[in-house]
Amino acid sequence: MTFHEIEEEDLNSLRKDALQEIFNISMGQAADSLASLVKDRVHLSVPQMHWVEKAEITNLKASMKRVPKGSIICQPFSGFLKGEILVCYEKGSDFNVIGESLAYPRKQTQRWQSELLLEITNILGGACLRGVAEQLNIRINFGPPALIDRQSDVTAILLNPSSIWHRALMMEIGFSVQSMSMTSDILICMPEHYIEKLFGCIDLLLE
Amino acid sequence: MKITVCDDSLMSRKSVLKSLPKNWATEITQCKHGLEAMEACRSGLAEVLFLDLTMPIMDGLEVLEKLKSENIKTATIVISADFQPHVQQRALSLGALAFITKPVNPERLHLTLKEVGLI
Repeated sequence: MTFHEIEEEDLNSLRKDALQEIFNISMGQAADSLASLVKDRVHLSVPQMHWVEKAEITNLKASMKRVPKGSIICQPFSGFLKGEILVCYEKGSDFNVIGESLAYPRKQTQRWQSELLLEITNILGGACLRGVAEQLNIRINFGPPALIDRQSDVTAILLNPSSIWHRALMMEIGFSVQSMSMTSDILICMPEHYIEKLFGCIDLLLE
Repeated sequence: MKITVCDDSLMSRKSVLKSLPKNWATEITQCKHGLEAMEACRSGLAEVLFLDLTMPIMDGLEVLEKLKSENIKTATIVISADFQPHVQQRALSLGALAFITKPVNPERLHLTLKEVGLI
């Protein structure tokens, strides 16, 4: 048998590749859940992974594909992994379609906008991390999502003194739905402390 | 059988390779994006192409379009994390023989290869 082999890669890039792919697979499942609600295709970007020091948050801004600004929802998770899902929704989305799917009164969709954002966050963030938990065979619990800001850029939220971390791993995933004119970004922030355990699971997969 | 596995993730390429039937592939080419896959197909290295969709540089749907427009006969099986109905329909209408949702496993892959008559 002939192999046309690609160059060998070191352990860190193997882990990075595996983690990105695990998130990619999970996001596919999450997007399918959202797509069936909005009856339209959900476009996803390839997940990007960043190591971030809180003291050097400007580096994250520079390395991100886009730094979104708008309504920011935060959903904490705990269990084997601990961290926060931050979803930033840019202004200008049309929530009628998803409002109807979720049986909100048609005329009052704007009134329910914040609640709808929480629902979408639950669907996307929840489905995404559940997929990760399934693939790694670990347990993750979710806290309730909350609207924490209406106009900041997402990196400003990470500097919030209440979020206790110094160095963290961020997964950045962009998604959009054309029929809703919705452009959003998900940042999954996992403090360094939990990453060794995460890599332990990944190493098992890579064996 | 000369096969090409195209996926930007090394882990995913490996899981496809691990899932192949024993002694079925005689020559294996790995590609990280669509441009490399097109090269492999043009060079006759892909009697069967296992193709991811979400990739940098050139994505899987573009590869399917190019194979069609260049009239290259390659049995293509899409293996994708994005399995929304629109995507599956588009891939199949562009000539993919089958669509497998990630993560791939040997049972699913063997069944698909049987269904499309490749084993």
